[in-house]
Amino acid sequence: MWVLLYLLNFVFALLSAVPFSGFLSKSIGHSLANTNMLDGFDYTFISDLLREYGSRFSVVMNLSMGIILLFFIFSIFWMGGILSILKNEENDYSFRKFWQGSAVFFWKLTRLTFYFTFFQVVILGFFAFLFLQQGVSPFEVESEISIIKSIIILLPIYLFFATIFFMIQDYAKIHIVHDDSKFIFQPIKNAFRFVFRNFRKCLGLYLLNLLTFAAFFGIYWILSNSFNSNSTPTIALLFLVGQAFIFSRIAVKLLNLGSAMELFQIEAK
Amino acid sequence: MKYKLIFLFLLFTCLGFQSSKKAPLSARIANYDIQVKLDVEQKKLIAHTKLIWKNPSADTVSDLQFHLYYNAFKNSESTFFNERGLPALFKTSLQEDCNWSWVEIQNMTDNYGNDLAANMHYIQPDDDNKSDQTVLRVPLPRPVLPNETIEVEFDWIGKIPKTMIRTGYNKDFYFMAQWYPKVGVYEPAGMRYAEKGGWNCHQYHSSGEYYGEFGNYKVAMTVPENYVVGSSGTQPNTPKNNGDQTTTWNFEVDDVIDFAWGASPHFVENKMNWKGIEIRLLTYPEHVHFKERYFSILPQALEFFEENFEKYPYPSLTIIAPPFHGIYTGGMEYPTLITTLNSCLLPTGVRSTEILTVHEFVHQYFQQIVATNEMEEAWMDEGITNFYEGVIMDKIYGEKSSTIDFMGIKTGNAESDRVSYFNMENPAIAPNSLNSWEFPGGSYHTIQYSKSAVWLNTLKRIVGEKTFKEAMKTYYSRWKFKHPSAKDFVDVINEVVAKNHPEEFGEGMDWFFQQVLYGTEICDYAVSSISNNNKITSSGIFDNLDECEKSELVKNEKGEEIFISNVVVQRLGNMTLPMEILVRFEDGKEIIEKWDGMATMTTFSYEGSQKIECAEIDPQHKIFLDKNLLNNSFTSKPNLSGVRKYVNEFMFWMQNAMEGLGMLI
Ligand SMILES: [Zn+2]
Repeated sequence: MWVLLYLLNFVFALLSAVPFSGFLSKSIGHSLANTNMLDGFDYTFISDLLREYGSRFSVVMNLSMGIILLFFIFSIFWMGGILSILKNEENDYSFRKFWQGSAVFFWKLTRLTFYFTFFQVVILGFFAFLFLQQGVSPFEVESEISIIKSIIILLPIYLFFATIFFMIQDYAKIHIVHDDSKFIFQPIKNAFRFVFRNFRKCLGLYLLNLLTFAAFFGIYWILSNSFNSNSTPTIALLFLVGQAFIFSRIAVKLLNLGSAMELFQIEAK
Repeated sequence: MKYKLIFLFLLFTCLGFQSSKKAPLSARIANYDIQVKLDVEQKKLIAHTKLIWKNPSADTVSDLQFHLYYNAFKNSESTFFNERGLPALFKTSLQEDCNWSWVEIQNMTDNYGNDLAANMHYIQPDDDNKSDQTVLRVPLPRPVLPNETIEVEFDWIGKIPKTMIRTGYNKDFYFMAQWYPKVGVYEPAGMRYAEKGGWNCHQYHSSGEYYGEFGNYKVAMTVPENYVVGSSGTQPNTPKNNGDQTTTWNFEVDDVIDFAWGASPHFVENKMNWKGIEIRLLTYPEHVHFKERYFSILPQALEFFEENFEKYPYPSLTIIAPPFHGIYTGGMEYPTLITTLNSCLLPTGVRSTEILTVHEFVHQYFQQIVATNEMEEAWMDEGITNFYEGVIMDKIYGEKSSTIDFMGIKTGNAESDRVSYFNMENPAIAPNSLNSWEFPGGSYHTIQYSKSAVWLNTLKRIVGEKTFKEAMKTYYSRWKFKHPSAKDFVDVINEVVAKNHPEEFGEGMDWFFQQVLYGTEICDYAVSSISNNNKITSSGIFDNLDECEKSELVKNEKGEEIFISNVVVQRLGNMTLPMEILVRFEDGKEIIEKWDGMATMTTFSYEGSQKIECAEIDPQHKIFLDKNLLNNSFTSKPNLSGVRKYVNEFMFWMQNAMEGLGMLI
């Protein structure tokens, strides 16, 4: 499943990378300026590229946005499959079970995604409102220090609440595959109840998974900055490092869901 | 013996006197003695001015004209607000709380005792807008004769705006720029474009800054006793406490075109000395740690100008770094005083503190010492200043990272000018030669700052660094403490270029200025294709119908195939510049072709055993003005290493974006 998810991600990204590559080869494939790209970010190069060949580029970008959205919808779809496999009651790891789960839970998970996205927007909006209330214009505040202070105070609180909701959403997904109720309000309610009853365990587990992700990112960051990718072998190496990171990112996602499922199954007994 | 001693004593006294009294740097036409009281309760300036004005012409001058800049903020119909619209942030303060500002002259007499106030009236030389009261004409009952001096005294009150553009107060921070009634520039016949003598005294517009006359200033500011004053000039004595909870600060400066100052009870003062020049920095407590950045960059800029022009000629330079609530006053230049901006929100890699310090400092040379008319020819101060800002910043921090160097994002200073110029919706919207208020569609800033810097950069590379440096130095030394026009600038460049490169540039660079300064032409040259075809013998039926000749590969005596190779270059823009084209063959041989750049397309053809590998137009990268640098070269085989790297990164970010959005599920 892990490899399958990685491959799906790779194929979708490739769908937009191919036209992007075509755009670059057509625009600048014969230009010596091409080598400027090897030294990393080059402002003149990027500006000239976007200005002079921008209309072709925006076609590629629109296509890529479309692919991201499509991938998003598919991700909802196979989330059902992932959860069915993780639930693991019949020790059935078949593709059939995966696709079946995907189909069965798609609509419920879509609604759940919609509701929780709405929650996240409300939380973000609330904190943005609190931030703006403190004032940001030179006529409202004494100095930028007060802006920095309100960021320092509000940002962690916001992140805490956003995290809680992401976490509850995970347990709501688990409840959906377990409870098999007609409406999704019941699983959401149950998820809230479950998380608040086992708050320390849930949060601890979530933070542990976040930390694992941070560790993978750290490794990627160090590795990708440890060499200059300005030749074909080093570009290939960077590609491998990048793909390893994506692979680990998907692993953490599964780890997070799997461990939450495990916790749920232990605590629910 | 005695006589000898007395003689020696007199001799040394005379010598001493001679050396301490240097010849004036400027003509000292407009000299001010101002006593001003800052009323922080009423937000007013209550002042008395004595102006000594010298008629610089052979004309008999029958009036004086003053700028009353604060009247730009007096009503919603001023030319300033007509052009800009009432800023949204100030609407309530202006329209509901009636916080309009103004300056009013209460009386005025000349040194003959004539009352000048009776007939003074507002005029609108630029747009006839009767609601605009930013220029005051004062008819003189007794005119000023050629080269004669007149003394005028007047009381006046200024209502300070809440930090409007460049000046005003917010909380207890005050910055006083364009704060006093300031006499215009009388241009005698022959100066700049003047055919006959007359006042050059424009209204205050939304775009464009000032034009001032040289003179000496003595200013005494009385402020609340806990306030610290930062100002143009130096202090002849320590501030005097008046015993009524006020303190009077005195400042003096000679040979300048303007005078500005600021005051606040929160200013923290830091000083350094650079080769005898006192640098005084006034910041708010939260910005004190920026001190190192100012004191590191400023000496480097001073050094650059001493090396390339002349040593900074004043004894002091003051930096005022406004607090966050005073940011609208930041980033401006006044004689011997600059305002910058800094923010604890910005990381060190965003070099706005350094950029503004360098930029405003360069204005001490181009705007203050070479005192051009910013209302009519703003490129002469903003463009030249932006250009040298780029030169200095790029030299210190590298040309790819002198503006931003943060988290892998790097931008250079000069390249940023090029990018902002070409990223305009229409880079051909206006030439540099317009009056500041005539620029359409908000194009003033980019055309005057960025475009000028880009073509100056191109000019430098075309004529060569040495010639350019000599030309700019000549321009500076010929026009320091004077008021040159664009024509005077062009004349100096032409003179030096023609002297140094008579064969190459003949009479000079008029052909260049015509396009970049007075024109709106866009430059874009491209190598559009390369072809390498085998040379073959001719084929077909010629004289004899029965004989059909077949084509064959032509080979040289070594048996190598012969190629007909073509490089096609195109002029895609309407600017014409002479061009060089570098053609490189597969064996590494290089040919430099010269092209006058006039035709829309030209082909260079070669015949030989080597194929062309690549061709590049402008191989020395002189033409910074070229709009698209990516089409300046062409390789016969695609060159995809860079493409691969970007595709790789694009793919990685796509994958992350897809996974990132997946967090919402
Ligand atoms: Zn400037």
